[in-house]
Amino acid sequence: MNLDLLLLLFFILGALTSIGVYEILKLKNKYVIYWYNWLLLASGLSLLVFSIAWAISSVIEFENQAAGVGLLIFGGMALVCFSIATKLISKKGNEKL
Amino acid sequence: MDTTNSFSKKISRRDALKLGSIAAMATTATMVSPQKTIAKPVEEKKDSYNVSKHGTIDEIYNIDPKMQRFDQANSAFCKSILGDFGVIPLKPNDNPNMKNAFMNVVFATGGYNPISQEFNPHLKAQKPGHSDLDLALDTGALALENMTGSALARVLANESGPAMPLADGSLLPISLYKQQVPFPGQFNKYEKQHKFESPKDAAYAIKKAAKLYGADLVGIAPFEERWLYKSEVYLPMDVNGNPIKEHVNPFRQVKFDFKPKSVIVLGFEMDYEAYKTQPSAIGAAATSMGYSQMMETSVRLAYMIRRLGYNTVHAGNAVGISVPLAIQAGLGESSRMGLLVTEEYGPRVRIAKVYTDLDIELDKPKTFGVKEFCEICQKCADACPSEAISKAVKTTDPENKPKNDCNGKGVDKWYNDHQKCMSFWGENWGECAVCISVCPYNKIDMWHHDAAKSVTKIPGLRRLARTFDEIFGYGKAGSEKLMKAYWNRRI
Repeated sequence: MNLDLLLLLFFILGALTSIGVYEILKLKNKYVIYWYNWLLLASGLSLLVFSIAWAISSVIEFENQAAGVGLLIFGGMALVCFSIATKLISKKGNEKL
Repeated sequence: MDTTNSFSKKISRRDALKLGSIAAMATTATMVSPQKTIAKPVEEKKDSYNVSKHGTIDEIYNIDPKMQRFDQANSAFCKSILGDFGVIPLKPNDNPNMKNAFMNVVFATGGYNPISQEFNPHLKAQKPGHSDLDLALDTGALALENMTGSALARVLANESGPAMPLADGSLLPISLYKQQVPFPGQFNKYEKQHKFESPKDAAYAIKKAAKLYGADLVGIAPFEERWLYKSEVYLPMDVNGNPIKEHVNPFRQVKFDFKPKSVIVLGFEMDYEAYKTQPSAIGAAATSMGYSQMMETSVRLAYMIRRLGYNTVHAGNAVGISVPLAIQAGLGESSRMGLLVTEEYGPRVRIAKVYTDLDIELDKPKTFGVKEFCEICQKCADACPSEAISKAVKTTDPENKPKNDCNGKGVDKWYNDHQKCMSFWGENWGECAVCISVCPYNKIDMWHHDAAKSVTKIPGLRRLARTFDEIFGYGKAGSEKLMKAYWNRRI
């Protein structure tokens, strides 16, 4: 197992999580966000981070198909969560005055 | 009520940067802990949430109290080489002269079987996984074990590990030799016995030493006569180590010249990448490395315990059956293919053991849903090239019957056809181990596989676990692409 690559992976994941959290929290300045929107956004971010972690870990162990399929499934689920959340949040009347 | 009230304070870029740095540092520190990078932990891995502990192996499997001890003469290897087990045609157009083709495996490195006078067709064609380079890899992997024996001695001793070449060129397996016989390099038992403060302390010290000597897994089982072979294969010898020529029976009763109290069971991970190429000489090299490690570590541990003043007998596959001992020692569970499945490496492990009279704390058997998963999965049975693995859903199904003498009877398990299995070995001019390679438990010990393995423990999701294992592309045994990729991949 390549520890250097794992170290880099988890550093990237940490940075990505931070940027994601920052961007999500920024939304509350513009929109009224309900608990289910928070849940969708959190799930989306977790799935996105998980899919990247899965893909890179699979590449480290030379399992390229697992990397691709993992990215497709978990990344796809993340996109679905983000799409629904975006649609719900940007509904008319949700903007803060 | 406005749910956003609690977040009314604006987040500045500085706050976000701080938050990000803390998150990144915490994640990195957690995942790459000093335990992994600096010191190898001695304490066993903490069991996951749904691992059940048991008092004895009998609480997990139905074992007939009248069960007879297994005779090593009935093991598939012994029957193939010393008996008339032979091979059976797997395909209609198989060469009828393939009788005793299992010897192809013994002569695989040279590529010529002097008994059948056949050449290894895979080597001749330099097929991926069977080329000179691949066979050389296997030869190198086996070198350490071969330094103390030879391929023939290993085979005679049922791959027992240690064996010793004698002055007259004959070979002597030394898996169960008398402590008093002064073989060159043998360390006799030290006269003064070291006393540990408690059996727990003894177990800690032995486990720490075993890990230093190269074991990936260590557990301690109680000594039970029922798991000893009734008789074992050996080359008869006198006290000077010379073979007794008139002695023609290569089997002898297994008995100790001391009263063993426990068995230290050692587990060795075999290389994941090499195992992906099974059935090939590359995969065989990973197995051979396992055998070399079995010999190396068990001998070292036995010598250490003798220096502490206690008796030992070390063995690879010889002396007794390894799988039930490993289960009793808490290393893992039995599986459809009959091999041990560990939480850490699945079935991709080799087992060695050291019998001793040292007072040492015993480990408890554990289960983590392997049997239940095997009932549904059957991936090994579907992938087996010789269809030797039972496809009965449950071990109690009427069609799950012993196939021949190779099956130990009286134990709750799936019965596999070892004659068919050995036939494929002969055809392949080498080992197979496709069952190990394709098993969904055969994964590297990495965080994302721990997450995936937990699915195998949830009753409703077991079928899904096998499906996803295939969708994700794991366990593609027999792929020439993977065999070629092994050498092309740069590390």
